[in-house]
Amino acid sequence: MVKHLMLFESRYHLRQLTFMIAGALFLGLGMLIAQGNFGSGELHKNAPYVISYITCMISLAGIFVSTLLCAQVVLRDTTYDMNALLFSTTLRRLPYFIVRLTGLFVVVLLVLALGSAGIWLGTMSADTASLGPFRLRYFIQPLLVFSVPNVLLCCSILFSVALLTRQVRAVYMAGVGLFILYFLGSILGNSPLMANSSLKTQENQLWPQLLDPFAITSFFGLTRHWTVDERNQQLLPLAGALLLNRLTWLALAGGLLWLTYRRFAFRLPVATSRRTRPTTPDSPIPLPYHRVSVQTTGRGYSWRAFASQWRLETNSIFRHIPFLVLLALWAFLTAVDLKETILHGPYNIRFYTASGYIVEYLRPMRPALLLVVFYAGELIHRERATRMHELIFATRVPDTVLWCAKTAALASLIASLVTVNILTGIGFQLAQGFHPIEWNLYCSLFLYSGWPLLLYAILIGFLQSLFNNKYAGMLLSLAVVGVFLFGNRLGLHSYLVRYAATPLPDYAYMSGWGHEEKALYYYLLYWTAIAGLLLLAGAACWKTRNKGSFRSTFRQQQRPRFTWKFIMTALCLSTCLAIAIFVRYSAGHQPLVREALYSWQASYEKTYRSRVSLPQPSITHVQLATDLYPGQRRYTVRGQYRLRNESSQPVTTVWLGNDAAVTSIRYTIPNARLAEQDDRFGQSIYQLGQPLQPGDSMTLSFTQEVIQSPFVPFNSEHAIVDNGSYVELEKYLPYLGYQEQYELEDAPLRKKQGLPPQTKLPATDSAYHFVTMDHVISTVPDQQVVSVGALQRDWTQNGRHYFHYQSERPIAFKFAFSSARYALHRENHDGVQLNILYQPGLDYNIPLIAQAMTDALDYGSKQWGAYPFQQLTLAAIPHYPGAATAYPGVLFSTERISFMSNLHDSTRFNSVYAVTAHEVAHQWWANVLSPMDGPGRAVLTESLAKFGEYMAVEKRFGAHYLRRLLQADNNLYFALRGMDHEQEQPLYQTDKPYVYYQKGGMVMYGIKEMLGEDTVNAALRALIAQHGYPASKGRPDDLLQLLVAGTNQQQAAQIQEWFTGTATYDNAVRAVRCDSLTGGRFRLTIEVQHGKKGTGKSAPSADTPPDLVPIALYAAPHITWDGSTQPLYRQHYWLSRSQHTLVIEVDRRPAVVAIDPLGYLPDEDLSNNYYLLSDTE
Amino acid sequence: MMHRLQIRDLSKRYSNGVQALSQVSLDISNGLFGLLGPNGAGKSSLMRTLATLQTADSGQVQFDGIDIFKDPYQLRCQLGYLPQDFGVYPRLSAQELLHHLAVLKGIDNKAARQEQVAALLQQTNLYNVRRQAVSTFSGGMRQRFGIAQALLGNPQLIIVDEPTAGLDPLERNRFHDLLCQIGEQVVVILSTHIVEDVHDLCPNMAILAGGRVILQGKPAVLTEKLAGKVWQKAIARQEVARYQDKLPVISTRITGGQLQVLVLSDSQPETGFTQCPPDLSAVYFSALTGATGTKKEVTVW
Ligand SMILES: Nc1ncnc2c1ncn2[C@@H]1O[C@H](COP(=O)(O)OP(=O)(O)OP(=O)(O)O)[C@@H](O)[C@H]1O
Ligand SMILES: [Mg+2]
Repeated sequence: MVKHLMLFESRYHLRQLTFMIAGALFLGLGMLIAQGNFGSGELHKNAPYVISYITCMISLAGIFVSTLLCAQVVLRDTTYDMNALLFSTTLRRLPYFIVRLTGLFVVVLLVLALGSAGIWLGTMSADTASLGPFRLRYFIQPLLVFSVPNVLLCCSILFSVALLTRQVRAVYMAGVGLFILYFLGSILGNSPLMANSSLKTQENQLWPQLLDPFAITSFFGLTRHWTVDERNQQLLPLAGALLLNRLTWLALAGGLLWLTYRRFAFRLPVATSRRTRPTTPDSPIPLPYHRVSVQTTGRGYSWRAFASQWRLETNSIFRHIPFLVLLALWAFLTAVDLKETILHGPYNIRFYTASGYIVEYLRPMRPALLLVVFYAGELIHRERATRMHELIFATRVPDTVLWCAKTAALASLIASLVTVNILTGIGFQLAQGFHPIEWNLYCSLFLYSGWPLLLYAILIGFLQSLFNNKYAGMLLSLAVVGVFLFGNRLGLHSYLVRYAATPLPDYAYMSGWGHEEKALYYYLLYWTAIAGLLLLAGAACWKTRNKGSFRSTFRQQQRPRFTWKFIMTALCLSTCLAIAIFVRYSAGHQPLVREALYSWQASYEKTYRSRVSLPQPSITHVQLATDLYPGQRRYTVRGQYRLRNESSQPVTTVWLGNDAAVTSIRYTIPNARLAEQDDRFGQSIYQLGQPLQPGDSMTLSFTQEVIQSPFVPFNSEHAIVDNGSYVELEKYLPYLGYQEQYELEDAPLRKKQGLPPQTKLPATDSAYHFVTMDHVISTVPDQQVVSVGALQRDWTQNGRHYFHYQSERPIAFKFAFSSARYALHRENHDGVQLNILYQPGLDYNIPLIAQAMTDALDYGSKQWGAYPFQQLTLAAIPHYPGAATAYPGVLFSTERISFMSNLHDSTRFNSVYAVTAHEVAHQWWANVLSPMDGPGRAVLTESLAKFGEYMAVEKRFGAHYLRRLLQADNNLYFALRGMDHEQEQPLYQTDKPYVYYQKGGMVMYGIKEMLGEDTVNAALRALIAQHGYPASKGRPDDLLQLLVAGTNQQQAAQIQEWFTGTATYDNAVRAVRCDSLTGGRFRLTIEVQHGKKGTGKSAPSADTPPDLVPIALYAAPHITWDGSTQPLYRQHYWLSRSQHTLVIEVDRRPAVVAIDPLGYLPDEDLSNNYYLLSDTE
Repeated sequence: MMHRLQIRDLSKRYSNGVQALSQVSLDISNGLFGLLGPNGAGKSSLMRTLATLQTADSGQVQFDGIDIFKDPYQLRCQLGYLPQDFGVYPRLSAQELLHHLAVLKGIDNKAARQEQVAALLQQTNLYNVRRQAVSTFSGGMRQRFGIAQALLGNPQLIIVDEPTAGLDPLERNRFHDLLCQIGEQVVVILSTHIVEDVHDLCPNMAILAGGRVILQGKPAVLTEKLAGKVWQKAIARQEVARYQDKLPVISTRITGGQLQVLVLSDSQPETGFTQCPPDLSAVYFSALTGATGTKKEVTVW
């Protein structure tokens, strides 16, 4: 019997169209992801890590399949009114339960296994160079560890809901609920799939890992620090937290099933309906029946029919308790996510809960698409599903009206979700007690997130109208929606081909939504026009679906009439055509998408690399007149370069180029002739009438104009906006000669473009080419301009505000400027004028920023040499790729990080202070001393600025406060290394930010701990003396030599290793005894573990030099440490073995013993660096 | 009087190959028109086609001179249709649903709508349960709801497919009453398996079998034609086959526990047969045997 049932069940499942489509989709999905960007660099495309990763992702997508199949197959008796027949057979409870459950489970698992097969197929077609060995267990193990328990969990929950409620919609809600559960899990577990999670620094904790039902947190948490080799060879072992997680959720699933089995009603479900009020059995005077006249033409009729149908449909959505529960869950998820996002930026930054940032965060509402998919399926097939279609379709009501009513009902659903989002955001703001609530921003969510969702609803409705089977329609909708959502990764780059996609500009109080807002409206209009077409098409298809074949309806519609449908179609078509043309035209010949840029870069290299050695003069003086028109998104520059031949050969040609963002440019070179011009790359080559002899000078004049199209992707370094423009002008002025930075660097990309592996040009020029500068910038009257140089004067003339900046001494060729309505804070500090220009109102952090500026200025002037300028200015800008940037005498700092970080919580690290100090330090480490081009150049800028940042923090707040920053950098180093799929290069020749920022700073701090602050700073002073302007530029090697000079052999070896090796530490400490001695003294016996990774050997050995490691005792546990904490005992030890035993005596009872207490030695697991002594010991 | 509904050579073949209608031609004027026919005869197919819910392969239908396939909307605003089988949106009360359908049917005046809905609820005896969800109605109650919605608005053509199925005798009478009252000014097409109902109610009728009209006319006239030709005899069960072979048997039936065989014949076919007065079911059965049986000679008209 059971066997027969099982066979029947599986055959039933396998015959479902939904299953077939799902199988095909998952096979394709596996192939697609496997061929995607996974496994770049040295990570194999079929590495066990990659396969596990994809399997994890696919098992998540399994939620959808389980939901649909559960609703369709498990509830089939309810759907098709078979219950009465079924329950009156001899079928027993247990077989029914088991067969239905097993059927569901096996089929969903089968679909996921097809996904794995897809991965395999996908890797088959990959380049063999990017593949590792094939092992079947790489595919099977993740399937067993992730897919099986995940599917079991999903199926149990959905199955239970299905059996207990016997409602299809309740099953959908459970499906969406599962997805929300996943989101919660990944937010709490800090999954790298969530936005900006990678920069959060957290240890692997047990709770988040346990709480994630799908074990994704564990997967990412446990593999986060794996090196490329480990990722290529290891499977995640099923042990520890992962095992516990799997067992917990399996047990939960089992318990739920058991409960369901006990509780579910194995009989006819009683139709639940609203309690009917007993109507008084009144017997009124019987009314006679009359026919009444009807009015079935005209707008009034259509409108009334629409409204009535819309009301019914919306009621059916909202008068449903599971839906309301889901809304509550939705609000909860949003609140949690908000809290995590707004309160935990990089370095644990916490932002003010300003409406603008909340709205920006709330804007994408992708999970809402799931609900739209489910409800569209339900609503569109409702007449047939309830068998009411003949009643409805026998009325006069046009299908278009019904169709629009259903779409409107979906719109109401979307509006309700947006409203919930808005209310959650406002509630969150109120709870945090910050800032006025900006209603207009909140309301804009209806447009920014509601409208695209509605467009999606129309698309999904259209897709559903193609199917008789709503489940097949849902699955196809999910697939299509997925393709568009992730289209950017699938090669659909342009907004014109990605449905309902628009740029998503970030919010800033200075510039609002900024540069791309206008483009956003155009794209929305474009997609709305297309959605209009889909709406009509959907109504038409739905109609044919309701009334037999295409052919016959076609016959009905023989008379072509110029109805409103034709007009609307024509209107939609012409609108989207017009916009498409406008977008292309407005962008000029700038590449709109990244792919076009790549081929542009490649062609540039192919065309011009051969001329790299053409001798060119150098720029010695720059005279500029810039006029900025923010409202018109435009600026013009009239400029003059003084050029000098600094080579030893005569210069016969001047090879000029300009950036693609420059709309037009005209050069004037006296006594020269244009020999070549190339508009695609903006190259012009002039033949000089008379060669420029070595040492001679000439003048080049130019006029250029930049008009920025809103359709060109936002570039925060070249932003012209109404308020808060920021232009790194030097990048958009004419340049001379070949530009190596245009070359593509990424090896696979180069290969795709048919380029050989990149060979960097040998850096030979070590001379400083500093210039003098004279710059007059004008802007609109109410704005101020901040730029490089000393402000000579500002004046207003002809309705424009002019600023005259002049360099006080030769500076690097760097002329960024910003223009905004600024408020000014001014201080004078030891003869240096400090200016802080900020958005009026956002003045919370001004005192702190000023403090950081003076502190860092003091430290630098005292330790490294005099500050070269009369003023130091910090100006707010809306956006920047990082937190801030340094120009000679000017710092540009982003509004959100510097001015809107909430620093009230003193238990958090004050990163605004650190960022500001870092940028001030760049005044020396970039502007006084510049590195020569070449590998590792950033060590002389970023690592040293990081060192300055550490020192400023240490001086102001204390070493044990700095510990938080060091540990954050430590974690960040490992996290970013884990995301980079290439072998790490040693510090002195790295080009990876995580090495020269995080590790570089820690190395410098370690050297300071070893040699002392004065020795290190003396070396840095020497570096400036030897390589500062106007001597020759420095190299990382020069720094290394200066640091090593005068040290003993052990120290020298240690410094050498930190600079030229990639080893990381695995330090741990443990107290084995603590004896109280007479006189209140304590003797502690501790065991030190000193491990070292990445040296090729697992433990330190005779041929690796010993390491200098601090060991310290404290009276208070490390969680209570603050800036004023002092150790009871602290000593640096040279450790050469992997095990050491130390005996230490102190005169107070220690609470904790620590190895490397500040955490400046790169160590994956810092938690075992501390050992808490319990009181009883 | 003019025929308001003219059906000419209507044929319909479903995509699974079943020829549901072939060359159906009928002329129908105001009043009740009964459709009889065995299961699968094509009654519902014909009615769905007339309701423009499906298209025909060939043929023409005109209502008040307008081609219903060319302009289905013109028909639909004067159509009342009760399908043989239907469901409703869940969790909506009878009153709410009737209001909704009334709006879709185009009753724009709110007061008129309310009055008609109330009247229909009373006429179908659903007034006391008007706030109960239709999806929780009993079979008969739901059927009455179906009747009520078919009468909404200003129907000129009412098509009801087995409207009395599941109704208790009292409700059935009430419905017949209502139908006769309405039928004076509009066309009502009614399909049923209860031959007496057609006899009692319908001035005109047709019998459909295998998708063809095999007989049409006025019930009284048709019955009249069989006067003196129907003979019956009580026989034993094992004799049935013999009689069927030998004589034009139109039906067998059991009355008072006795098996009676009915035979169509101009004279007494055999000893023991007694003449019995013809009724409409005799017409029905004789038409069916005539159409399906082999004995063509027994045509009676
Ligand atoms: N949607 C359909 N698709 C295919 N065949 C159909 C469809 N509807 C009806 N049929 C077939 O058409 C024939 C006529 O069916 P119809 O429902 O019109 O009969 P009926 O006279 O109403 O029968 P009943 O008295 O049982 O209601 C039957 O053979 C039936 O199987
Ligand atoms: Mg029928």
